[in-house]
Amino acid sequence: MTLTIAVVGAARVGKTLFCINFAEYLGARSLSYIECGSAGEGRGTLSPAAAREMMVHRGRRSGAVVRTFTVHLSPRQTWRRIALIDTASLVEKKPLTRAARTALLLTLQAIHSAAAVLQLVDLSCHDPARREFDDAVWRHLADYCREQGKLFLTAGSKADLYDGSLQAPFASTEKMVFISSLTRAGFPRLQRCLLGAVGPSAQEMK
Amino acid sequence: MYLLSRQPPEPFDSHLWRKIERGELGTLEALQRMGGLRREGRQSDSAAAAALWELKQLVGLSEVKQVVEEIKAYIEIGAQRAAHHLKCEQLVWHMIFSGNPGTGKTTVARLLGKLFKGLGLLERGHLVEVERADLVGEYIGHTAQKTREQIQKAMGGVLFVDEAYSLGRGGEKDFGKEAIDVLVKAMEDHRHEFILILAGYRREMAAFLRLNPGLSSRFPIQIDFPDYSVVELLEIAEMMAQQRHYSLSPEARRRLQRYLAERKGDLNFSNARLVRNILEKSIRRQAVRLSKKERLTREELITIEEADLAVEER
Repeated sequence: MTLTIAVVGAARVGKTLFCINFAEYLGARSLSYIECGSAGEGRGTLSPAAAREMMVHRGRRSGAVVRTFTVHLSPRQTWRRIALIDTASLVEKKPLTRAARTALLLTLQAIHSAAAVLQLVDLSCHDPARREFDDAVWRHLADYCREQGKLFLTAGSKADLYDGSLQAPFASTEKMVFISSLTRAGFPRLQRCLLGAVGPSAQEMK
Repeated sequence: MYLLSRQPPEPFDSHLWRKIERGELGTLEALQRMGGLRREGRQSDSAAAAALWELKQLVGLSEVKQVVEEIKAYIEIGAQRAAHHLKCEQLVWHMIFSGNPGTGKTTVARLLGKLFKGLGLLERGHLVEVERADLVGEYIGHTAQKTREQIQKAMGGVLFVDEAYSLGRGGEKDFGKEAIDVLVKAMEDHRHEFILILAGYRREMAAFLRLNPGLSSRFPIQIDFPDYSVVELLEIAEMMAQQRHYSLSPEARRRLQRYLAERKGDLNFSNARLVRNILEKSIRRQAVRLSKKERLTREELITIEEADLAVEER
């Protein structure tokens, strides 16, 4: 059985780093990936370190690409495989460019196909416009997932940089998980939430 | 491995997909509409099934039913091809309906609108029924304006031009020609946004298409609505009566059959419309007859007798 999780969020929220590090955390020694964007499709297999180097540190822009990482789990676990879909960045500005439109369609398709949707929110960002955008995305995704019976989780990323100033509605939701892809803080809780569908509490995380 | 395709996955809403592709929606609008449109999508499935069922209930019209089956099959196979990353081009669905009055052209057009909406080909699926007077203006420039207004009303649905051949009357100087030009341009420019159906009597439509040689090829679907046979008309009469909680007595049925057989060759024979008019008039006559009685049984209230039948002796 494959559990498909769509990881969504605005640009530079840390989706790619989260996918690579979470896959590694789940036990992946090599990452099979397939990517799809306006330029076409590509696939390959990399070690997590090489993937970080290529997809994150070298600054190769992956904002308009939807990339699926497949993680094979131990046969004893409920889920044999996990597909982590690193979706294209959700872009606030309008009108969207041609590449952004293709990326949005692929992202919506990923959300539609996934059993669980994980929205990442940058905890270190203080831009009110970005917070408002994240909030609107959160409301629409929550509505959609509730109607479709999908698991929907919000994770506050870059928790290592968090200064405690997060505003509503995220702070008020008990479903939010605080994580840091860099330090891997919050990953155990997130794993339980995603794979065991156990709701955490923001209070507990703090 | 999980692979994403570039086509709208079934049952992903194709209208939403196209709107995003055209750049009409931003990220938030797309996310907001994703849930709502999928709810509509489920309703659309049942709307398509209802329209198909209604179409199947219509007497005769085997050619129409076959074309609709083809359209439905094409769309379903298209969705499967998309899943296999095969090309699936959208076809053009503009049509010409030719046939005598009362053969079901408007009824079928209305059902097609509902069906196409259900199948995701049209956004609204409504029918805008127009005739020459609605399209042709009285002074230069007026026709283009009137025609465009009607096209605008029909966006997302079906524009049904009844007695379309009348647009070709009057020669080159007539404003009808201008209306045709505007329609032709719109059917090319907005080929997937509305469906244009030109309808009219068989002979007149054939002459109209001969006079406008480029027109015929722009309508890939041309359906002929044949006259109903007497047996089919009787079936229609019984169905109409049943829908209104009436029934024809055996004598009334035989009388109606004789009358329809006699009238069938008439130039102005209006098929199902004639049957409907006879039935409605007969219902009124039955009411007058029954109103003179004091006590009425359920059977009497239902039955239309031969004496009630509104058919005139020739």
